[in-house]
Amino acid sequence: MLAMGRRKAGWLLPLLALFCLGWADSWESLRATAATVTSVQAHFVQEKHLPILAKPLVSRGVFYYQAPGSLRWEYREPVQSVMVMHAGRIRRFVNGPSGWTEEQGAGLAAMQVVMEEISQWLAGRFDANPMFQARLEPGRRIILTPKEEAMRRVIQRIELDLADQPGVMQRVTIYENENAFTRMAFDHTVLNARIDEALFRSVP
Amino acid sequence: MKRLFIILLLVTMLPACGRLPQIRETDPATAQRTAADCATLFPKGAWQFVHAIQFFPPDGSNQTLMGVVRLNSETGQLQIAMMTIEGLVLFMAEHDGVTTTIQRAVAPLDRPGMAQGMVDDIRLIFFAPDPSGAEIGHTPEQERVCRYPLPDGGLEEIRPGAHGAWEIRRYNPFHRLRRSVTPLAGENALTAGIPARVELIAPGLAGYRLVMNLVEATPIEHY
Repeated sequence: MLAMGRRKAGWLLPLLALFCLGWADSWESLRATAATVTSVQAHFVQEKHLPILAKPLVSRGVFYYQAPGSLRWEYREPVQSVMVMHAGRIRRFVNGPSGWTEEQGAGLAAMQVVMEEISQWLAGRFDANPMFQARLEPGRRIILTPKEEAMRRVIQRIELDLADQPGVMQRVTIYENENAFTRMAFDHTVLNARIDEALFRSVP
Repeated sequence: MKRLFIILLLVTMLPACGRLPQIRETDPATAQRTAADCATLFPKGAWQFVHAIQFFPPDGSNQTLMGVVRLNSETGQLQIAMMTIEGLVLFMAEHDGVTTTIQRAVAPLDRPGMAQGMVDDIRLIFFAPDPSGAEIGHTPEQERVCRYPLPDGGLEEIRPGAHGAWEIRRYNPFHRLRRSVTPLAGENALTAGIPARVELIAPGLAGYRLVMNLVEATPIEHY
C-alpha cells in the first residue's frame, strides 16, 4: 500500500511541479502543456467596443477545437452563424429568415487567417506566426504585435490571457486601436472530451 | 439574336424610364395628414441602431454584416460602422450633415463611390427629406404620396400605405428609379417607428439588395 502510495506520489510530482512553476512561464512549457490537449470546447462572450457604440455589442456562442486543426466557431446570438474550418477549408453559414445559407464574401479570407491563428494558439504555438512579435508577460499574458506597419493599421495588438488551469485560455482581446477592440471571454471550458468530427463539417 | 437582345434591353429599361405619375392635390386637411404620415417613418432625435444586414450583390452571392448606425435627426449627423459577425470592422464613416469622411474601408468596401453610396442608402432609410417644395397628394391610383425635390435634381417619394405598409423611392434627375425601401410584409414597427425588417433595392445591372434586420435600437443623449 505504501509502495503504491509512493508510486502515486512519484507520478504526481512532475505534474505538481508543472502547476507550481506555472504552465505559462515559457514558450516550452506552453507547448508542452498544449501537447497534452487533444480537444477544447468552451462557451464565449464577445464584446465589440467602438467609439460610436453607446454600449458594447455583445455576441454569445460556443467553439469546438480538435487537434491538429479543426475548429467550429458558432455564434448563437444576436445572429446565428457558424464558421467551420476542417482540412484547411473554411466555410461560413448564417441562419436567416430563409434558413441556414452558406456565405462567401468580404471578411471570409481574413477570418481564415484568424481561425488558423486561433488553432495555433490552442496548439500552444503562440510564437509561430512570423507576422507577429510574441511576448510572454508575467500573469500568464501573451502579447502579439504585428511586425509590419500595414498590418498594424488593421490590428494594433492582440492580448491573450491564459487561465490558471493549464491549457485553458481565459480571454482574447484584439485591438484595432485603444478605443476599438474585440474582447472574447471564455468559460465552461472542457478539455480532451470526444468531439464528433461531423461538427466540423456539417452545419448547424 | 441582336434583335432579341435589344428587345430584352428595352423590356429591362422600360420600368426604370417610366414617367412619374402626376400628383393630384387633396384638400388641405388630408394633405396635412399625409405629410405627417410621411414624416413619421423616420426616427426623431439621437439614436443608435444595430442591424444584421444581409447584402445580396448582383453576382448572386450573399453576406451578412453587422451594421451600426448612430444618427441625430436634428443635425443630420451620422456615423456608420459595418463589421463581420466576428467583429472585424470593414467600414467606418462619418457624415456631418454636409460632407462624408471615411475612417476605415477594407476591400471590397474600399471601391470608389462605395462609401458615399453607403452613406446615401443609410440617409435614405433613416432621414426625412427636406420638406420645402414638397408636393403632397395622391397618385391616379389613389395612393397617398409625398414627393420631395432633391438638391441633385432628383426626387424622393414617400408613399404611406395602410396597416404599417409604406415605400420610399429615390429617382435620379431623369426620373429613373435608383432605390426603393419597404418594410417587409408581416413585420411590425418597433422602437422609434423603425420596423424589424426593411428591404432596400438598388435596381439595374449593377444593382443589389439589402435586408436590414433590427437587432437593437437605443436612444442616446449626446450626439
